[in-house]
Order: sequence, then structure tokens, then C-alpha cells
Amino acid sequence: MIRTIRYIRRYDRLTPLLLAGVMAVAGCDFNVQNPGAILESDLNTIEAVNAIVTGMSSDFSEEYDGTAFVIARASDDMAGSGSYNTTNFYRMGIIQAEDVDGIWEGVQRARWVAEDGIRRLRDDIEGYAFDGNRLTARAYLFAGLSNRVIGESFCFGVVSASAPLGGGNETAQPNSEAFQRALNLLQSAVTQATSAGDDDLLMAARGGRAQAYVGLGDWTNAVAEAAQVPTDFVYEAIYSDNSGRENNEMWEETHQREEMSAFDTYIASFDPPDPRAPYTNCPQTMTCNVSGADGITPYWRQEKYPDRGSNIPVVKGTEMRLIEAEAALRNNDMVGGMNKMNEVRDFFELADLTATTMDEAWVHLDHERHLTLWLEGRRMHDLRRWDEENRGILPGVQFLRGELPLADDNLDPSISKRAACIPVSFSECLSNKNLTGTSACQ
Amino acid sequence: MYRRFVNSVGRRLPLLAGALALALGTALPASAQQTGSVRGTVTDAVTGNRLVGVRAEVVGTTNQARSGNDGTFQLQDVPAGQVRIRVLAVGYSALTRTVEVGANQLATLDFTLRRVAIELDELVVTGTAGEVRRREIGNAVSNISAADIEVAPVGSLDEVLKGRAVGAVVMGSFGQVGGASTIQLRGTSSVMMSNTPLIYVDGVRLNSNFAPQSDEVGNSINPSQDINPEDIERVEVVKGAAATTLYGTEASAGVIQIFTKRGTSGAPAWSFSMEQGVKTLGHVGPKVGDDILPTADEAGSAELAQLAQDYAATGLFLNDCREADPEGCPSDGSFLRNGHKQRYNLSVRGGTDQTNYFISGRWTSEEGVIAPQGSDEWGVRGNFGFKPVPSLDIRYNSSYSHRDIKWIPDGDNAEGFLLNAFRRENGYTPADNDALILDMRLNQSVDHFVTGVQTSWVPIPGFRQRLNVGLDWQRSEYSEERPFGYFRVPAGDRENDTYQSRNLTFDYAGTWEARLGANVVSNFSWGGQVYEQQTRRLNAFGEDFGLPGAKKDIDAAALTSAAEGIVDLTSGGFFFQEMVGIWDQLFLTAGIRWDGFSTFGEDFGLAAYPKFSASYLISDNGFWPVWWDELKLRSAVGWSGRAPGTFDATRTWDAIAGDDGNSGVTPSNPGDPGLGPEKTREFEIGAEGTMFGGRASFEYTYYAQKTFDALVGVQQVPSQGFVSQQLRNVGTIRNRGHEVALNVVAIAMPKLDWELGLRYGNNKSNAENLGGEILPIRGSAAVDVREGFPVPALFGPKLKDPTAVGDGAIDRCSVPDNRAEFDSDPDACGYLGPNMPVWSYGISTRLTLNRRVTLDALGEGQGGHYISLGTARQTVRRNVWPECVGVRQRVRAGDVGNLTAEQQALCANAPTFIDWGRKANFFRLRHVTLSYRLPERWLPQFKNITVSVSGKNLFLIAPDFRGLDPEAVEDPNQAGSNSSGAGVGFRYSYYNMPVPRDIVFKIRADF
Repeated sequence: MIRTIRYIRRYDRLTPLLLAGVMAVAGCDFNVQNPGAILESDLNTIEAVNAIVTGMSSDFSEEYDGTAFVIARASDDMAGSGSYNTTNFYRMGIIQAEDVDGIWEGVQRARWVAEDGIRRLRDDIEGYAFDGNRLTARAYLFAGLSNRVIGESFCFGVVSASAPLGGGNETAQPNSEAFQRALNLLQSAVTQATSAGDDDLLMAARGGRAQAYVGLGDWTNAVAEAAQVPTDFVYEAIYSDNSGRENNEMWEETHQREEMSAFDTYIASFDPPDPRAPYTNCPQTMTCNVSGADGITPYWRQEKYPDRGSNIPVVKGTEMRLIEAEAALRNNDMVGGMNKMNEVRDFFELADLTATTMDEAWVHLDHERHLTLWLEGRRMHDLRRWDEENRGILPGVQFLRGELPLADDNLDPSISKRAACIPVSFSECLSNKNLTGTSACQ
Repeated sequence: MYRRFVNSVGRRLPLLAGALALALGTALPASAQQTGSVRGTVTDAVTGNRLVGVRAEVVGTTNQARSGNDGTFQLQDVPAGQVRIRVLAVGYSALTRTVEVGANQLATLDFTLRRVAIELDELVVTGTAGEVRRREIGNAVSNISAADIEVAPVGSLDEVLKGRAVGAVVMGSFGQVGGASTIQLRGTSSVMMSNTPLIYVDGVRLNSNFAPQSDEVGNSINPSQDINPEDIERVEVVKGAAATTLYGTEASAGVIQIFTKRGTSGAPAWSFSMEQGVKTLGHVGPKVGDDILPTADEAGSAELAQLAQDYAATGLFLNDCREADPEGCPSDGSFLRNGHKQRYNLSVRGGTDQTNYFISGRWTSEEGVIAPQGSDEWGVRGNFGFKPVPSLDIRYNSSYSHRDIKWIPDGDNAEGFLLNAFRRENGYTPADNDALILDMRLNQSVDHFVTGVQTSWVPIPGFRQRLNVGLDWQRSEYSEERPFGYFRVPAGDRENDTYQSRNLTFDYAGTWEARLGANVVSNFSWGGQVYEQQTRRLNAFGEDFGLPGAKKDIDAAALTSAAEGIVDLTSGGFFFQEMVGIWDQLFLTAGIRWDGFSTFGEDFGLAAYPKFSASYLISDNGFWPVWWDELKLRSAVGWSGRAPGTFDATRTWDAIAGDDGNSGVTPSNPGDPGLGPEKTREFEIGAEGTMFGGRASFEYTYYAQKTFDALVGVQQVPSQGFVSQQLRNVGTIRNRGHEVALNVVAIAMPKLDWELGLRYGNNKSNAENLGGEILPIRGSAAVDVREGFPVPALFGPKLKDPTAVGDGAIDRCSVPDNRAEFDSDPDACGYLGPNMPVWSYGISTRLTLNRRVTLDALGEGQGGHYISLGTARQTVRRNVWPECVGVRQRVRAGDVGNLTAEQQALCANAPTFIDWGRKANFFRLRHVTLSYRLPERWLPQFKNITVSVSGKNLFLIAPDFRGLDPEAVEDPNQAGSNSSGAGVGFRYSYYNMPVPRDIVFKIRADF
């Protein structure tokens, strides 16, 4: 023991050194500030309002082109000419839950961001004049249009039926719930846009309500809303070459690669192309790759979106006229229906169409909607509602129902019915326990 | 949290002080007496070469010296009388001999050492202040010495490890010069975080992540490639959590310690080597025989069957491109060339007992097999040692290297060269002119600077302190340019991706060794480390240059964009460890480490990692047979961990742009304030020993790992807005396996020596619990991580009966996503097999004749895994994949009368990825080297001149693969390659350049 103490004394200068070393390690400031991430609390300030609403717009555009890209390949808008696995399946009419995670998540994010953003603008941001503000109107517009997209494109609307904004406890709802939610939100957009004096937002909201009423089959109200939107009106999802996220995916998939082609589609029967559905016959012009990314399909490139910043129409007056035309046909008013269709054709400086029977008129309507709304992500909803109605309201009418010849290798012969809507994604089914065992996730 | 960390340390300081006091109190004094000196020379028993840097020591004391450039050591102040002298050299047997030392006399004692695979008295590093003898540690350590690789034509660290380090699986993508391999030790223990081991060079921790670049390249680079193998003295591979506890958070994937050569006493000793060689690629295409190729009946005609034979025989249009690509095909009819390879090394070492130096430089130039692919590289190293007083050893090590790599587009992208060449006129190039792709310029320059000071202070015997302070600085600049007029982007574009990383290491450790009694030794260690990592990434892009010849800087483009990424990480921790040795035979160790990390959640606090181990030399007992030299039994259990990513614990929003360039926000990470590291607990047990006077050695280890609180990306409910996955500590991953190493000296005669070596390791992983998640790793290759299966594995709708014939023969199980059919029988229905190698082995041999001629060979095999042949899947529909020529046309026409379900599925227009999943077992002859050491009398001014010729990757056996090359796969280290952002590697074949062969002539001169 004495020896021990002696050695401690002899080398006692070491102990402070040692302790100093350990303390140097322990006393370091490990706090690290990494730039780049925005915290939740950063958003609850008046300075964040513009960014919040711009985010709604960006998220809406981000999903809108993606949805249109899926629908173009899964419907008769375009032929598949690419090598994506999904393209092969979509062309066969197979849309699997595990293949649509990205689209579903994008649409739901756009909806939630807008709805929760409205709540934040109203409740959390001190000093923000909520009512009568153009930004408020815009927020309601994105919330409503997102719900309209869900109602039209997906097989179910998954929302919180009890929460008008944002939510929690989301359950599978019929599409009608999404359309109804869209109507409510777009009515608020109408109110706020009127108060703010913003006519563009006002007409976009009214046009969106007309679309939602179509989804609900309420043609009286659809016409009432549509009538307030002039033929030359267009409200677009905004794309830009400013950043990759803002690029138009439809352009990327057709001009940067050759994933889908107009070859052998209804659009391709127009030579020269219909002005509403422009394309380039690449093998003929030799100005672009002659075959698609699959190396087989002749490549007829869409030119509706000629650059990465091309906007995609969301609400437009020409569609409103076609809504009016369809409502007229549903009332057996063939002349009225054809007149509305020819208003659209006049707008595009095309010769008038004539019909001698209601069936002819319906075929014209099918073609006019096909051409007018080409590559806008709307075609599948038309095919779906008409196909459903084909079994009831509209017997005997032959539409281009998207029943393209199946691709030559049907992976699953047991699947004979083409998908007419996008299913709830695998990621939603996996994570949302409210959907377990429901028909939304079968 | 960090305040809590500081407080936590503060609370433990009294404990530390008490422990130190206890340890200090047990020290023993030294004593003075009459002394003499011992001088000796150390030589290699097989080659007769003098060995440099060998440690000689007086047994039982700290008196030691190292052999100088002439292989001679001299020990001073040796107590007079009978003295035992022991010499230790990495990779050689330890040898102890007795000599009589007279007072003030010089005694002579020479040693002849033999290379051995295992030496229980060799010194290894364990994270404590000093080196410890291998006999004292309870876990397995793989050691590779300079002697093991001096004959082999190794060019990088991964080539050093391939086939040599048991338990290490090195998965290469060497199709292009400059491409790095993926190194994994004992399998995949994390599904979300990196499985790349930590790498230390002379005590400085490297950022071992892969530098970012675009997916055009299909290969990637790793900082470990910058280490010159000629500078390596030894490599220690510490494989599992049981051994890496003291390295703390981030170490559960293992640790690779690299020690570079150091200076020696004596006159300057120079070493020069020069390599000249060629790199060639033979047949490029599936190597399939007649049993696989379609018959005339199956192909539909004799002509098509012959065409399939031709494609199989001549390859797919790279070896001979005249028919397929008349416009772009080079005049000699082949896109392939014999790439020239040259490498020069020059080093010098010398010094005195107080100061020494090792300085080296190298220059390497390698051409790839397709112009303009290639790499130029140079590097310098300066290692300096100072010993101002015997108790203080200061080493300053620095290296700098620079690489310029020219890539060609490869792999899974529309502009990949193989992709377009294989697809003939159905590729993306106009008029099938595939040479147009090579107009794209993919350049990368890499600078790497590593510097550090290692200070070792032994103020009194047994009391050792070590301080390492170091910097690892890396910079990679990757540029991708499509020149004006390029076929896919006529106005041209250019991207610059610059990545910079700075890693700071501060590592202090101390050890107090004390004798607690006649036969008991205590070794108490403590220490603390701080690591700081900063990464900066700047990406800029511009397109539309307007005119040919216009300035090609990005700012000259009409359209530009930029992105910046900044990440800072700091971690710190401290440890205590006590090892007790009894009779120098039984060693018991217990330790614990606490870590803080800047990415832990606010509520988490510190992570604690304990360890326990034991080793027992049963051979030191009297009953042990004489022929069995040594046997150590060992066992260890320890914990280590991995930290989550920078913002994983925080609820965040991303800044984005919208409305044509205005600022916006979008949801990013949901956040989890309780997020902490995942922890891996590993238990291992094993034995190692030597027999027959060191002529046979073996090592065996069984290990079982369990990663609990495993970080899993948990899918958020998309309809609730945050669509990204949130890392949560919810998973459990298991890995277990066996490792065996055998080394035998079959013949040991003065003029003939023959060694054989075998190393085998296997690993079975299992994702026991993923919190109910399915992690898609590579959706387009059917690779997922799923509960109850290996990590990762191939899944998909398998054929129920591949041999069924005719119409309707295709009958599949349903897609295996929680479907009842899959759950009831996954093997039959939707599970194909693991995607990463389950086993690997290396076989080596070295034959030495007349001490001058050496034949050295190494082969390596990997297998037990399956790879989806995306190359085949996509080429089938272009009618050129030999297995499906003619068959596809018949399937397409519905004429499937005599075709099996498998043929119909494989040759369909859109086969599934699971259909093309193939067993990827392979054996590759890594190298064969014949060397000759010239007689000294021919050039007496040289100490040694050796000439050699080597062949690398000379042949490949992959009987079941039916693709190009099981090692030519998509690089999993490419940013964004994983569908879920997970850290799990994967193997997927998609038009990747096969591994070429090298023939290399080398001359080495020491003077």
C-alpha cells in the first residue's frame, strides 16, 4: 500500500493530464447545425405564407403530370413504346397496387398539403388576413382540385370523412366522397376568390366544381358551373425548366426518352394531326428517334408539351362546352349537344361536325373529349364512367373504351378486365390499418 | 442531448479516477544492473531475403528494437547473463532464442523466420492504447501482411482483401478501370444504414462512403482505392460487433485497419518497381452451351438455331461489330482494345534510432478495354518517426493522391454502351451507330489527402498513452458532358458534381498494465474519441450551348440549375476496458463504451456498448501433444451500433421551387425524437492454432449477430401527408455463419517450398422483424427485404411447373405480396433465394524453387445467391439473346407447341425479373504470378531484383449463370439506386461491363 501511494505521488502529475484529456473529449460541443431542413415551427410565421402556398402549387403540379403519364399509358391516349415494367402492365390493362405507390403518395400529399395548409393559414399564422386573401383562394383551389383528381382517377377516395381539412383516421371512401369534398373546398375557393377579386381563380374554381359535379353525375349543377367559364379560359398546372422538380414529366418521357407513342392510336388517324393533339411521325420526318424505347414500336412523338416547361391544362373552357354538350345529349338534345361540340371546334378553327342519330352524336362526343383533353390525365375517367353507364344509361353506344389489343404476352391470363381506375397504393394499404381487409385493399 | 452527454461523463469521472488510482497502485518498479548488447540479422526462411522492420525484444521487458534496412537489429542495455530474445514480424512466425550477454559486450543472435498464417504472439490493434498479442484477444482478427501480397499483382485495397480475408466478401464491379468494389464483413447487418466497414489508415478514420456520381457510369469510386498497396505494411480486418465495441457507433459493419510502412534505421534503402501490361476482354456475351441454346425445332428453323449458335460463339457485337453496327464500328471490326497498363513505384526508407522516414511515390496509368475509358493516378506518401526520448514515439504520416478517370456510359441507362451495342438496331442510337455514345465525356478527378500524428508515450513501464489526431480530406469532381451535336441532346449539356469531405479524428487512449500477483496481469484501458465529418456537395447543370465550339462551361449554357448539399456530423464517446491475464494462458476482458452522436434524437441520450471476451491457450498445458504447437480457444460477445442519418430524428420540410421558380415547401421527414442507433450484438466462439512446427495452421469461428432496434424505414400513411419513410428502431436482423482458414506448408525443403491456403466463410442472414414493412431494394430486379427471408432476396411470381409444355403451360403463383398462396409455400411460389453471396472462399498456393522462383496463385469463389439477369430480359425482345433466338418469335406468334413453360416465360416479350433470376455461383482465378529473383552476383549493387509475370482474372467458372459475368452488376453504391433509400446492397445484372483479364510484367529492384 505504501508502495502504491509512493507511485501515485511520483506520477501524480499524470492523473490531471489524463483527466484533462477525458474532459476535453467530453466537453466538446457536439451540437451540429445542418442547413437545408425546414422545421415545423418555421412555417408558422407570416413570412412563410407565400412559400406554403407555392408548395401547394408545386406539389399539385408534381403529381398532376405523373397521374397523366399513368393514365395516358393505361388508357387509349397513347401506345406503350417503352421498357418500363409498368408500361407493359398498363398496356395490358393491369394496374397493380404495388406499382402506383408514387402516384398515390403524390396525389395524397398534394391534397394534404393544401388542406393542412389552409388550416395552418387560418389557425397558426399570426397576422395573416385569411378571408378575402388571394392566397387563401388559391389554397382552397388546390385542395379542391386535388380531391377532384382523386375522385376521377382512383378507385377509392381515402380521406378522413370527419375532418374537412387535413385529417387523421383516414378511411376508404367511395369516389363520390372525394368529389363532394372537392365541391366543398372549391366553393370556399369561389367565395375567397370573389372576395379577393381574382377572376382567374374564380373561374378555375367554378370549372373544378363542374368537373366534380360530372363525377357525381349531377348534370344540372355541372352545366350551371360550366356555363360561367368562357371557352377560351384555361387554368394550368405550372411547369418550368427552372428545376428538375418543376419539369413536365410528360415531356421527359416522350422527348427525353420514348416511353409512349401516338402510333396506332385514335390520335394517329389524323394526318395532319388535329391541332388539339399534335404529334411528330418520327419514322417519316426522321427528326427524332424512329422507334420507341422498346426498340419495336414506331415512335410518334407527342408535341402537345414540346418542352419541359409546358404547362398542363387543369380546367379549361373547351371542356366546359363539352360538359354542356354531354348534358344536352343526356337530355336527348342532339342538336344542342352538337352545337356545343362545334363551339369547341370553332375555337380550334376546325370544321363543324354533324350527326343524324344520337349514337353518332355520342361517338362524336367521345372523340371530341378524347382530342380536347388528350394527355391531360382525364381519359380514364371518361372510359370508366361511360363503361359503367354503357351497362345502363347508354346501351348500344360503341366507344373507344380503351380496349386496345392486349400486348402479346399477357402475364396473367386470368386478368381479363382492363383497369379503369388506379387502385389504392400498396403503401397506403400497408400503413393505413383502417384499410386492412376492406375492398380498397383486396 | 449533448449537455446530457457532458454531464454523463462528469458523473463517471470519479469512477475513472478511482480505477486509475487502483491501476497505478499496482505498478512495479524497474531496477538497474550491468548490461550488454545483442545484434542479429533476420531473414526469410524460404527466400533468404533480409526482413526489414522486424521487432526484436528482450522477453519480459519493454526493451526492443527494429531491424534496419539490412535486416539487422541491435538491442542496447540488455541485462548481462542468459537472456531470451524474441523477434516478431507481421506475417511471420515469432521466434524466441536464448543468448548469453556479457557486461559491456556485444552478443550475436541471428533469426530465420517462416511465413505463417497465424502467430499467437503477433501484435494486433484492438482500439486500446497499445498493441496486444493475438493470444490475448477473444475474437477473430484477419491479418494480411505485406509478405502476403508482395508477389501478387494487387492494385487496390479491395484486391488485397479478395480471397485473403476470411469473412470478408468483396463484390466487384471492375468492368471499368477505376471502379470500386463493395466490401462487406459478415453479411448485411443493417437494412437501412451503410454496411461498409470503417476504414482507418495509420489511426486516421477515413470517410469510406462512395463518392457521388451519375448513374451514367454504372461504376463508382471509393476512397480506399487511393491507398497504394505497395505502401501497406499490414491490414487488420476486425469483423464483427464482438470485436469492434471500442470503435463505437458506426462500427458494427466491422473495421479495417491499414498500417503503412514506416521508416527504419540505417542508410537509405530504395525500392523501385515497374509494371507493364495489357487489359483485355474476350468474348462478351452469354457463355452458354448447346444444352441451353434452342434446337432447330425450338427455334422454328435451322437458320435461326444456327444464328443462336453464332451469337453465342461470337458474342453480342462488341468483339465483332461489323455486321451489327456498320457505321460506328471501328475499322478493325471490334469496339474492344487491349488496354495498356503501366505502374511505377519508388520508395525510400531509412533513418536512425531517433528519427526515421519512409517516402514513396507512384504513378499509374491504365486504359480500359473500350476507348477512351481509363485512369491516370499518382500519389506520394511521407511517413516520419521521431523518438526524442525512449518513452515517446511520435509518427507523422501523410499521403496525397490524385486520380483522373475517364468513364464510358455503362449499366442501366439509355445511353449505356453495352445496352445499345447488344440491342443492335433496336437501341437508342440513330442508324445503330453506337460509337456516338462514346462522344459523351464522363470525367472524374479525385484528390485525397490523409495526414495524422500518432503519439505514443510510455512514461513508466506498463503505462502507455496514445493520441491520434488526423485529417482525411477528399474531393471528387465528376463532370458529364454531351457535346454540341450529341445525338440525344443536340444543343449539348454539361453537369458538374463536386463532392468534398473532411473527416477529423481525435483519438486518445491509455493503458495501464500491472502485475497483480505472480501469475496475474491486469491491463486497464480507457480512452475517448471525437470524430467530425463535413461533406459538401455542389451540383451544377447547364444545357443548350448554342453553337459548336462554344465555351462549354456550365455558365455558358442557356439553361442552368444548381443544387447544394451540406452535412455535418459529430460523434464522440469514451470507453473503459479491463483485461486480466492469468498464467499468460487465460485472458478475460470486459469493457464498455458510451457514445453520443449528433444525429440521435433529442430524447435519446447516450448509447452504451458493452463487451466481454475470453481466450484460453489450452496448448500451454502439460498434457498437450508436442506436435500440436499451439491452440487458442476464444469466445467474445460485444455490442456495436450505427447511427441514423442527419435529419432522421427531426420533423422537417424541404425547400422546393414551384410556380416557375418561386420558393415553396413540401413535407419531408416525419421525425422521431426517440430515434437512436441500431445496436448489433455479436457472439462468436472459435479456435486457432498451429501444428507440426508451424507447418500447418488453422482458424475457425462461429458467429451469431443480432441487430436489434434495427433502423427500418417505416412507411407513413400517405393520406396523412408525409409520404417518405420514417426511420424507426423497430427491426431485428440476424446473421450467423462459420469462418474457416487453413494453411499448410506441404513441402519445406531448402530448395523447394510449397504452401497451400484455404479460407472459407458463410453467412446466413434473416430479416426477423421489419415492423411489418416490406423494403423494396430494387424494384426492377425483384429484390426486396422481407420478414423471414435473407437480406435481401429475390421475390416474384414463379412458374409453378417450368417443365410443362405447350399452350397454357405458363401457370404462375400470384405476386407475393401478403397473398395467401405465397405465405403458404414461399419457396415454391414467390421466393427465389438470397441476392447477396452466402458463401465465399479463397484458395491460394505458393511454390518456391531454389529460393528464387516463385509461383503464386489465388482463386476466389462466391455463391449461394441469385441475380436477376436484366440484360437477358431486355435483350430477348430484340431477338439477339442466343437462348431465345427464334423461340421469342414463336412465343410472340402464339406457336408454343413444343416449348416448355420456362422457355415461353424467358423468351416472352416482357419476361418477369424472377424468370431471369439465376444462381450466381462462380469461381474466378484472381491471379497467377511467376516470379524470379535474379542472382545477386549479376547486379551486385542491388540487394534484390525480381522479375515476374502475372495473369489476373484469367478464367471464370459460373455454370448456372447464363449471363455475362456474375461480378458485372449494377453498382449498389450509386446514390439513389435503392428503391427505399436503404443501405442494403444488391446484385443486379443490367448491361454491365464484364471483368477484363490483365497480363502484367513487373520488375522490382531494391538497392
